[in-house]
Parts: sequence; C-alpha cells; structure tokens
Amino acid sequence: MAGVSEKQSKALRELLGLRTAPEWQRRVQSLDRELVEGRRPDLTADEYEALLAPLIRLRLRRALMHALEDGVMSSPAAAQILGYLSRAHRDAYLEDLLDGSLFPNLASPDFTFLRDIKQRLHQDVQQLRSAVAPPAD
Amino acid sequence: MTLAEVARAVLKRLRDPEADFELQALVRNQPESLWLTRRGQRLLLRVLGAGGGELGWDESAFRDLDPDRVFSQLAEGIDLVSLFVGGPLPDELIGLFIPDESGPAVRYRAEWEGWREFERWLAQPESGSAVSNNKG
Repeated sequence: MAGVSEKQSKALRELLGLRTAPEWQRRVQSLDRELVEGRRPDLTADEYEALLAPLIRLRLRRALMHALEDGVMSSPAAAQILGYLSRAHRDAYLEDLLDGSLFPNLASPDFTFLRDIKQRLHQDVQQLRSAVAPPAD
Repeated sequence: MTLAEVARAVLKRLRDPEADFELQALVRNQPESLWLTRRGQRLLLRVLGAGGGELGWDESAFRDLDPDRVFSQLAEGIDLVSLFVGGPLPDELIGLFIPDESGPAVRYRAEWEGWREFERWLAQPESGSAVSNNKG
C-alpha cells in the first residue's frame, strides 16, 4: 500500500479539522461523547432524525484523522478524499465518501481502512436507532 | 476589520507573533461557514459547505461580500466564533481556551457567541483577565 505523502497529510489534517456548523451543536457533541465513552445514548426519534447526519459526520471526521495519524490510510484514498472535499460542490458531504455507488473503488484494498470505518459507523447507527425512546402516549 | 487586522489582533491577544490559528465563524441560518487560517505568514480564508467540502468564494453564499472585510460585514449575523490555537497559552487565557477533541492533534478552542463579543475580547488589554463566556 502506498502511504500518504507529507503534502497530502498536511492538506488532509487541515481539511478534516474544519467542522461544519451542525457538528458544533451541543447535543451532537454530547451524543458523540456518550458513544466514545461506551454509554448508551438516550435520544428521541426527532433528535435521531435531526442529529444523525452531523453526528456520523463528526465521528467519520475523527476516524479519518486517526487513520491518517496511525498510518493506515493509503495515498489513493487520501487523494480521493482531498479531491472530493477541496474543490467541492455545494451538495458534497463528508459521509459521501462511504458511498460505494459514488466511489466504486471503495471495494479495493486501498480502501480497507475506510470500509472498517464504515462498519464501525454502521454499528453506531444501529446503537443510536435502538436507543431511540418510543414516543410518549 | 480586514483579515490582516483580525490576525494581528488575535496574535496580540495570544502574545505570540508567530502563532498559527484557525478561526471559524458560523452565520445565522446559513449552513456554510467561514474559516480563517493562519499558517506561518500565510492567511487563508475558506468557505466550508454544509457537508464539509471547501467551496470556491464565487460559489458560496458570501460571494457578494468583500472577502477581506467579510467578518465585519457579517458581524451582526455571526452567532458563533471559535478560535483554535496550538498553545502554549498565556496564563490569563487558560480557562478561556479548552482542549479540543475534534482530532488527534492537541489544540485548544475558545468560543464567543457573536462577532461583536469576539471583537470586544480582541480589544481587551493584553494583561486583562480571561472573559467568562466560554461555553465549554
């Protein structure tokens, strides 16, 4: 696997450090903390609908940073992430990077780390879904 | 304030003429946000799209504004300013800045609930004590 170049690494660190507005919401951050600490999150169906996307984006952002720091990100993957986000169109979302229909090469060995991240995030989604409190009568 | 004036004022408050920093401004009812980054002598203004992609200025919601004065022009519409620095911090700023957990790199973040509030902090004398508006 070709490793990430120093130039790619620097550009990615900068870009991944830039959170979007919804990721700053206190509730998003508290749910993230609960998941990080292994606690069972407690949320309503409305919160699940409204906060799932920014919460997953926040967790994906961190997972990508860790992959970069741990040296498990490949150079082609870094190039793909940078290419998608650095000259983005208005509808580009970080989580699009997990979409195999947008990025068929997600199945290739260079993207093993990203498939692992996708699997972990899928577990997060399942955990959040199962934690949604039933609506009050 | 121009971008250079903002940067000078930040460096003065940090008491570090060489400090790198990042400043994010969230604009009310606007999914796109503004980022001002200082790396070495270089200042970079970026627009981040709703999903985290970097937008060209002309494609952004701010395209009709003067990029060099965009923060002042938007001032009343900015409802959150976050400043990220690497540290070390002057003693009086410890407490205002908290460790930021958004990535593995150690950095510190302080927040203000509006541009005017941030400007007031910038204008404080260097020896002034930290303000108590940190939202933690």
